[in-house]
Amino acid sequence: MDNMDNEEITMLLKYPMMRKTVENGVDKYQGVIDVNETMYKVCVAESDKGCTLKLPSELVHLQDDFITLQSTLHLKGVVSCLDALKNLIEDKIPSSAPANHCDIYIQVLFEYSEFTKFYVSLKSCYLHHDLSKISVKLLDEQNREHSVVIKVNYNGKEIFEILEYDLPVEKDKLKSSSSLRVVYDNFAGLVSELQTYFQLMEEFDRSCFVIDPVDQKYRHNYRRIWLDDNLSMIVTINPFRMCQIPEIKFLGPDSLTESYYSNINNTILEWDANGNIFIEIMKLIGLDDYPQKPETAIEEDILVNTGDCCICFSSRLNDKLPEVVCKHAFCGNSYHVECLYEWLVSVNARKVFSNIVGQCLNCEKNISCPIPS
Amino acid sequence: MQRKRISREILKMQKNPPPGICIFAKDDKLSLLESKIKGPEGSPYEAGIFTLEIQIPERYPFAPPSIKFTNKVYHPNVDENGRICLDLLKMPPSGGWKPTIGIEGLLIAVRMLLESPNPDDPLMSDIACEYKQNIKEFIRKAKEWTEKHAT
Repeated sequence: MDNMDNEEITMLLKYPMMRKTVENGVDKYQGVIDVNETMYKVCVAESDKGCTLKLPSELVHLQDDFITLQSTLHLKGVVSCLDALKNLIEDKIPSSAPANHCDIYIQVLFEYSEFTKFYVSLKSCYLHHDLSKISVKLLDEQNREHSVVIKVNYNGKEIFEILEYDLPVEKDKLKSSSSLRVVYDNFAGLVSELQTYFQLMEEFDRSCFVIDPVDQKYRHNYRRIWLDDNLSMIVTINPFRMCQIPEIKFLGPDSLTESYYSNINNTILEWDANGNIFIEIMKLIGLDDYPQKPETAIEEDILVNTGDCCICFSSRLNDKLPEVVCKHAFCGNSYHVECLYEWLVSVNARKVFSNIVGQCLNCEKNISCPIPS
Repeated sequence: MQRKRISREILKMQKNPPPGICIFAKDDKLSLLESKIKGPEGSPYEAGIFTLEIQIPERYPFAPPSIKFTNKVYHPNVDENGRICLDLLKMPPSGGWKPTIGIEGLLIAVRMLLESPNPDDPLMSDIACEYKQNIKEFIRKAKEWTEKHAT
């Protein structure tokens, strides 16, 4: 057996499925190469001038790229040619095999374990079982709880990115990073910057009758505050410029709101940027105190009581009680004969003998009403 | 019966106002009401406060009230005169008015319409087209009009 040179040994190790033949004094390699677990049939002829490659039909479109590559890199020898081809295929043809995220998994686990070791203000911290996100709850200086969900981004350079949070902050203010600590520190920094904002909002919620938002969250930087049956004011706070005069709007009849707006115009110069903002706002609109919600009778809070007619919203009409009740289970709405009759006539319902038949306003099933004499 | 129902509706809305909505009567007969609506958060109307005129017909609640904006609004379903294209404001069979809806329900629906316009049933076809094809430009103009006519 001839002695094998180095090139031939490397060939055998790297591309064992290529067979060497000699044709008219020219070395020829034929067989398949394996790239990303896909087999490609190739044929290489090696002469003094270099290698000529014959590519299978699925790779023909790479031929030109390969020739340019070959001349720029001055490739000589079969091994370097096949290496270049392999890189080219890896580059141009997406792999069907699942991506390998081991490196990221290791980094996530490492960052997470470091993170939980060094932070003490965390109330809880939880890494989801599929390593896709990390849920953190932190306590601020006043023991308020802030939750944040950090997503692990497998397709980017910055692998940690904030996904869910509750702060009055645009998403672009939140940092993404390949370090979990940087992402968290940025978030915690915002929380501590917003302390006076949280305090003010809590003061509003404690001391005023807040109409909107119904379910107050940290991200809601406005409050609609009850002033009168007809009047409310909407205060919008700039969370990062707390000493600035907030935006104040009034909701109510113009006759009432105008006097409030002129109050503000008169007192605006007395605004004290260093004072207690809650009290400053009160002074600005000319109040000594925010009005409290007056006691309301229950019937004022509910529009239609059970058993009331759902058209006139009352129980007695000309001394009669609602007599027609929808027969269908789960509905049972009641109507005065006169009310239901008038409605069914206005929608041209069918008259059948001494009844008129149409749809119940609530459940839309058939309902029948006697025609009043 | 009509006055009793309306005064009850107004009272309820004053004691328990729906989000961003306020209502009051303009006359003693309770046939003309006015509502102020704050533009919904996140919409191009956010910065505005819109005034609506509500006319109660004699046959209310068997016939729907007529509601229109008195500010100019840049919206596919609101025309130059403030008329609103909303299914609930029309009598069946073409519309969806029912006596059980009430004024609060209508105002909530109008505010929702500001939040999500319905370009498939437009009053202003050019604005609807713009909304569908060039949403950025639509948002810019809607903001501009809000700034100009509703603040």
